[in-house]
Amino acid sequence: MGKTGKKRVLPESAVAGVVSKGDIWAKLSLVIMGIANLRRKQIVKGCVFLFLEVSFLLYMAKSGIEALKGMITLGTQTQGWVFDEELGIDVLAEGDNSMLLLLWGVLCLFVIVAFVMTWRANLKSALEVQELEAKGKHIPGFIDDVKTYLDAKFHRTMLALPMLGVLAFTVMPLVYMILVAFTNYDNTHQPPGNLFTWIGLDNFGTILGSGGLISQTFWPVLGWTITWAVFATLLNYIGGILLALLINRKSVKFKPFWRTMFVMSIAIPSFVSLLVMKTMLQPDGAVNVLLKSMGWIKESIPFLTDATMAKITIIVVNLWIGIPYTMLITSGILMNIPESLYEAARVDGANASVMFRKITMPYVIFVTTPYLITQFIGNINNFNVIYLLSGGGPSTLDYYQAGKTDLLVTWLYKLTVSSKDYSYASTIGILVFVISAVFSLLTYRRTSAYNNEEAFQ
Amino acid sequence: MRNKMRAAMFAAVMAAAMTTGCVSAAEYASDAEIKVWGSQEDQEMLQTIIENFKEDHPEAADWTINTAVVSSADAKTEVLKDPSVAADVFEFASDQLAELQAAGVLYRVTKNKEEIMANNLPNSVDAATIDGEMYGYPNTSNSFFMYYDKSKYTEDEVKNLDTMLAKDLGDDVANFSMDLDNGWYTSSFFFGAGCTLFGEDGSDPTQCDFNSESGVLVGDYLLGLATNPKVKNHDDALLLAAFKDGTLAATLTGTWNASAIQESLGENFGVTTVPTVTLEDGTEMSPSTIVNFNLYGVNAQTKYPLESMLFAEYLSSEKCQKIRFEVRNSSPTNLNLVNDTELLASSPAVAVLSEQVKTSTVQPSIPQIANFWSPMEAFGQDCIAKAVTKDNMQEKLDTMVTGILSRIGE
Amino acid sequence: MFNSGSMSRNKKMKDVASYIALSVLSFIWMIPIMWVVMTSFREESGSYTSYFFPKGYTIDNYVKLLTDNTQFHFTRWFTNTLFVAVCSCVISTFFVLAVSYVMSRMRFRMRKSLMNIAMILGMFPGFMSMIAIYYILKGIGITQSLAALIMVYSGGAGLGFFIAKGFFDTLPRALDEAAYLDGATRMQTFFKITVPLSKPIIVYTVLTSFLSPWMDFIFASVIMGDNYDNYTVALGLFKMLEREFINDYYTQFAAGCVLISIPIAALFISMQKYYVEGVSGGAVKG
Repeated sequence: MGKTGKKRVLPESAVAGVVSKGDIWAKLSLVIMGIANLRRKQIVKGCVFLFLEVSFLLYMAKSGIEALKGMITLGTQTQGWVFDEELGIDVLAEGDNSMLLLLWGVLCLFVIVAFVMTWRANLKSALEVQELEAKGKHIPGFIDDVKTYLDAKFHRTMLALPMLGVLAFTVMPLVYMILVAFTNYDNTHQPPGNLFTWIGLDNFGTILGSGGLISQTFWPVLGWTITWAVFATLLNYIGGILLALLINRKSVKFKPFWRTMFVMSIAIPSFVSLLVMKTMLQPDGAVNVLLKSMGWIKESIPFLTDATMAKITIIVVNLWIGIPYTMLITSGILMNIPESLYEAARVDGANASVMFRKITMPYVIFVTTPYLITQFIGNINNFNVIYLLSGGGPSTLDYYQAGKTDLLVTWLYKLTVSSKDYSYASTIGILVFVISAVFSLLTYRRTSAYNNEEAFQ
Repeated sequence: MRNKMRAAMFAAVMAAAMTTGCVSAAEYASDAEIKVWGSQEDQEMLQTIIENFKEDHPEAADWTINTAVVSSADAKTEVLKDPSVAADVFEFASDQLAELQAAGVLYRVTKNKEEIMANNLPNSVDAATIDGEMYGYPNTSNSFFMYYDKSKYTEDEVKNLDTMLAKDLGDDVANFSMDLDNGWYTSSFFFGAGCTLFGEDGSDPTQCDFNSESGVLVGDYLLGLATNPKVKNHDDALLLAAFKDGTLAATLTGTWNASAIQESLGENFGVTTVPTVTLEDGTEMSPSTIVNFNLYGVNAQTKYPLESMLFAEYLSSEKCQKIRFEVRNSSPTNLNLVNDTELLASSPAVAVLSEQVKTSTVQPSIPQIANFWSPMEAFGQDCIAKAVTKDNMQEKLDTMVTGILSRIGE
Repeated sequence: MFNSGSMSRNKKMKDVASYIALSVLSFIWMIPIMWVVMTSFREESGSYTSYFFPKGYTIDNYVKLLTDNTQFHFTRWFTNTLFVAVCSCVISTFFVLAVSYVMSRMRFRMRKSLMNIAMILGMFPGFMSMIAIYYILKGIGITQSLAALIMVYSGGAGLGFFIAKGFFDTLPRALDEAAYLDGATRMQTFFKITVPLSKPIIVYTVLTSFLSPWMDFIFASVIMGDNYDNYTVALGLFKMLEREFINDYYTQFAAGCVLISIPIAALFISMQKYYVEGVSGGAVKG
C-alpha cells in the first residue's frame, strides 16, 4: 500500500542554473527576455518572449502599479457631493470603489505571477539552447517545436485552453472571494458610497469563537451539513449501483426502456421537480391529501415543517434526484468490464457470486471512487436540493438567519443575498472549503484509485 | 432710425427674456439620453407616459428615453451590482431605501421638494426620507387589507375579528385565514398595540419592543389564532385556492390578488380595512398594517441629473399616478387621487387600500430589517406547532427580539 | 446448464421479481413528471389545487406560452438557451476530455499536484464569486450577452475531469502502446483510438454539460441584468413564479417545463444506444 519509492530529482532553480552555468547570452536573458533564443536563430520564439516582456512592462506602468497600491489601501477617497452652481443641484464627486480596487489588484497579482513563470521559461529555454549549441546538436526551429507540442509535450497543448478558462473563471474570482473574508465588506460598508478596509483575521474569530449567536449557528449547521452529505452520497451510491445491477441482469429484457424511464427524471430540470415535490409535501399537499383519503393518517404529516421529518424527507427526495445519475455511470462501467476477465474466471471455475465479488465490485468501486468523493463534496455544497425543497427551513429562533435544514452553503447564500454580510459569508465559505479539502485529500490519497492507477491499465 | 428701433426692440426682448426666467428652457440639455427601468408588464404603459411627457414638456422633445426590464423588487440588486450601467431613473420599493442611500447610489430630491412633500401621503414622504432629505419620488403604495365573502359575513360583522370568529359557518368553512408565519402580516398586530420596531422612525437598529407587556398580549392573541381550528395559515396560493373552493370566508392580503379573488367570489366580493381585535385585557385595537411604497429614484451616477429628475418627477406626478391606477390598478400616493372617492370607486380594492394606508406603519428600510423576517417566521411556526404556550410566551418573545436585533460580531 | 427443476423455477421467480421491482420503481420515478405534464394541460389556473387530477384539460397553456410574447418571451428564451447549451456543451466536453486524457495517460511533473488542486478548487461554492466574474466579463466587454453565459458555463469545465479520467484509466494501455509502435504521435492516438472507445464517457459528459444551462438561473440573472431579451429559459420561468404572476401563469410554467424537458429527453434517448454497445471488450487479446 505504501508509496512507490521513486526518487524525486529536485528541479534545479532556473535562475541558479543561469547564474552558474549560463554564458553571456543566457545571463542577458535575465534582463532582456528572448535574447538567447534570437542569438541562436530561434527567431519566432525569441520574438515571442521579447514581446511578452514589453507588454508586461507597459501594463505595469499603465495600470499595474496603481492596482497594487489600490489593493493595499482599498481606497482612501469616499464618495462626496459637490454643489454645482450652474446646475443648481449637487453633483456627485466619485470616490474610490473598494470592491473594484480589490478586484483589479487581484488581476494584477495574477498577471505578475504569469509573467514570472514566463520569465523562468525563458531562462530555461536559454540554458537549453546553450547546451544544444555546445554539444553541436540541432537547434529546434519553430516547426520542430510545434511538432513536440503535438507529441511529447502534448499535455501542454491540451491543457492550455482549459487551464486558461479555469484561471479566469474559477481561480481569480476565488482569490478575490478569499481576500474579501479579510475585510469588513458588509451591508454597512457598501461601495460605491462607502469604503471597506482590511481587518485581518477578525471575522474568523467572530464566527468560530465568540460564543455569540453566529457561532452558535455555525457548528450545528456544520454538523447537519456533514450528516447530510454522508447519507445522501452513500444512499445514492448504493441505490444507483443496485438499480444498475438490476437492469443489467442478463435476463432482463428491454434494458434501454427501463433505463429511459429512470433517466427521464434527470431530463426534467431539477428546479422543476423540486418545486413539484415541495408542493406535494405541504401539510395540505397532494401526498397528505392522498394519505388522509386512504385513511392511513388522521393529521397531516409535517414533511417539511418538523425539523427531524424535514431532514429525512430531504434525504429521501434526494434519492429520487440522484439515483438515476449513479445508475447511468455504473451502467456504462458495467458494460465496460472486459468480457475476457469473466471468461477467464469461468474457465477457472468461479460461480456468479464469486465473480461478482472479485471482479465486478472491485472494478466498479475502483472506477467510481473519484466519483464518490466528488459527489460527497458536491453534496456538502448541494445548494439546489435544500434551497428549493425546504428553503433551509423550518425556521428556528436559535440560529442567526438559518433554518434547521440549512447547509453551510445555503446559509451562505442567505447571508450574501439577504443580509449582504459578504465578508462573513466569505469566511464561512473558506471554512467550508478547508473542511472539504482536508477530508478529500486525506481519503483520496488512501484510495486505490490514487495509488494503483497503473495496476488497472 | 430703424437701427435704433431694432436695437431697442432687441434689448427689450432680451430684458424680457432674462426677467421671465425663460433661461430655464436652456437649462436642460437638448440631447439627453435617459434609461428608465420598469417591470415587464409596465413597459407599454411607460411608452405612453414617455409620449405624454414629451408633449407636456417641449424641452424634452429631442431627448432619447429608453426603457428596460427590471422590476422594482430587483432594482436594488441590479443597481448595486453595477451603478455605472444602471438606469438613470428606476422604480424601487421603499424598504430598499436605506441601503441604496447608504451605498451612495441615489440622488437626493432637490427640485420642487416642498411641492412633492405637499402632494403626497405623509406616510409615503416619510418612507422616502432619511435625515430630513428625500431620496425618492413617491409613486404607489403597497400594503394589505381584508377580503371577505359577502355571502358569509355582513358589513357589520367584518368590523371586528372576534365577531367574525364567533360566527358558525359550518364545518368545512374556515372563518378566517392569514399568513401566520410571515412577519409582514403578523407585525400589524404588534404595531396596532403600540409596539415599535427600530424606533419611532424606523432608523434605530437597536430597538424593538415586541416583547413588552403589550407585545405579550399580542403574542397571546396570535397564539390563539394559530391554535384556533377555524383559522387557517394560508399563503397566497392556499387562500386563492380556498376562495375558489368556497372554503374560506375572509383573509388578509393585498391588491395583487384582487382580480383572482374577484373571479372566484363574483358578486360576493367584499373588501374592507383590517378588522379590530380585542386583546385579553379588554382593549380593542386596530392593527396597523405595514406599508411600503414604490418610489422613483435617480441614479447618483447619471450623466443627466437635471433631466432625470424632471422625468422622475413627471413619472410620479398626479397625472401619471392616475394612468397607473387606470391601467395597472395601482394604489396612488398623490393626495388628490387618494381623496377622490369617485375615481377610486371603480376599484374597491384600491379604495380600501388607500384608506388602510392612512393608519399604516412604514416598513423600516435600514439593513437590520434583513434580520427581522426569520425570527418572526420562526415565532409564527412555533405558535402553530404549539411550541409556544401562554407560559413561555415572554421567553419566546424575548428570544425573538434578540434574534431581530442580533448583528454578527456581538 | 441448469438441470434441476427447482433451480429454473427459482430463476423464473427472480426474473418476475425483478420485473415487478423495476415497474414499481419506474412508476415512483415517474410520478412528479406525470404531475407536471398534467398541470401543463390543466384548465384551472392557480398554483395550488387541493386535488390531484385536473378538472379540465386544455392545450391553451402551450398555445399561450408560445404565441403570447408580451409578458414572457418564451420562444426567444428557448432558442437562447438551446444555443448556449449546445455551445457550452461542445466546449465543456472538449475541455473535460482533453484534461482527463492528459491526466490519465501522460506523466509529467506537476500531474499529481494539479489533480489535487483541481479537486480542491471544485469545493468552493460558485455563487460567492459571481460579482467578480461579472466584472471580469465586463472588462472583456461581453456582459449581458449570450457569449458571456457560454464562457461562464464552460470556462471552468476543465476541473470536472475526475469521472472521465477514471474511465480512461480502465482503457488498457496496451492499445496506446500498439499505436506508438506503429509510429503514431500522441495527438493521433488521442483522436484515432482513444476517442472512439470513449463513447460512454463522452455521452455522459455531453449530457451533463448540456443540462446545466437549462437549469441555472443564478448566474444567468447576474450576467443578464436588464437585458430581458437575452434571458435563458430557467431565469424566465423563475420570473413566472413571482408573486404577481404565479396565480395566472402557473399552468403555463408547467407547460414551459415540459417544453424544456423535450430536447433534453430527446438527447438522452438518442444517446441511449451508445450505452448498449459494448466497448473495448474483445479488442485486446491476452
